[in-house]
Amino acid sequence: MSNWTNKWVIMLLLGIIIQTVIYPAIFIMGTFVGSPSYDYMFSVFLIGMVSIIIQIIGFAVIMNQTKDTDPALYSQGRPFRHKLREEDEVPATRKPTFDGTDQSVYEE
Amino acid sequence: MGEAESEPGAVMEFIQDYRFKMLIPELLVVFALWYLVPESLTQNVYDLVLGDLLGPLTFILQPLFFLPSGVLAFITAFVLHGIYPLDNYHEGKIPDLPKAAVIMIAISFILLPLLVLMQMIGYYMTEATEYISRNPLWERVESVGDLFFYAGAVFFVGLQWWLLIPVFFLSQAVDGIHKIAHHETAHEGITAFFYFLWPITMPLFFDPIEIMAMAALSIPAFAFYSYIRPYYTYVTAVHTLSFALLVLGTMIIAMAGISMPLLKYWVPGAIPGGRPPVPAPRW
Repeated sequence: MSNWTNKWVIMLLLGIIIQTVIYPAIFIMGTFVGSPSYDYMFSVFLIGMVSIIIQIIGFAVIMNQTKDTDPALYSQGRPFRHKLREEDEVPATRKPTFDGTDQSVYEE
Repeated sequence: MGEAESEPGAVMEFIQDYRFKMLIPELLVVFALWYLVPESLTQNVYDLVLGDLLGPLTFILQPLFFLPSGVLAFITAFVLHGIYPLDNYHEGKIPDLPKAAVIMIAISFILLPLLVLMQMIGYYMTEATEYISRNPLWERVESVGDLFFYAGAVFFVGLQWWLLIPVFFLSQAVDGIHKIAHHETAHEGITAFFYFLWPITMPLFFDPIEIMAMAALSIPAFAFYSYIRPYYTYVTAVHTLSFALLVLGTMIIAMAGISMPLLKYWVPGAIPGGRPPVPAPRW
């Protein structure tokens, strides 16, 4: 449950909720009437709805995957920082994150 | 079936070595060219737009002058993928540059010399931080290289120069937030500042519907990769909230009765007024 109070999770959820409220509100209230591309409003509204569905599924996937994980994971960033790609076996010495002092990369 | 599946076939290996998944953004740019300049599907754009100015010199910009420029841009997006093995060769990941890559790059030069020249310059700009120095200035140059390489067709075939500044902010932001997520920026604060210039400046260049479309498309396009990699949640959260707030801000500006793009109040005529008409429904 502590994962739900992580600030990045709350921020992501807040972003999704704002969109869920304002895309239909803009469409129903006709807020953008008079915009040069108003003819596209209905298509854009549909794109917005599909976008929200994808985001909700994505959010559910994240929460499901991290159920039993330390919330510090949410702000970890790329874990294989001395490699160009995850599947690479040797550290990439040309990468700016590599200064030769981190010995842990040789142990893997 | 069985063990043979672990080894990719010749076709799959070609697709992987030449990174054909990157066709997704590259073809989106070609479609943007077709949308913004529909004439490019039937005519030589350089001759159409610059013919009076340059005369026969347009031949240099497109030697196959009798073919539609938009179709050539489409083919170029495929054959220029020879640049990805070139990149691996520069990085020392492969000892020899494959012959097919050289031939593909040569063909792309013949199709659209100006576009491919600028894309190659863009590619070398993205290498600037590796070969010159990594500091905030060269990181910005690296992102402009991305602009030249990926958005090249809109500028060097479509000649849509009014898009240069908004796409500059977009390329700085997309490249910058990746640098932050990958822990490879020399200065996180400056990179984050350039990221936020993207949502903040959009009301200057686009009208409310376009901004709403940009938010609705960019959030999942940006985040779909991170949903299965929770260690990127913080950048996904920042991007999702920034663009949700951008739409909210756009809504407030619109309800205050101020029409967008805002730039027209300061620089009249900087942004073409007419948008392409909605195509007739095909069903």
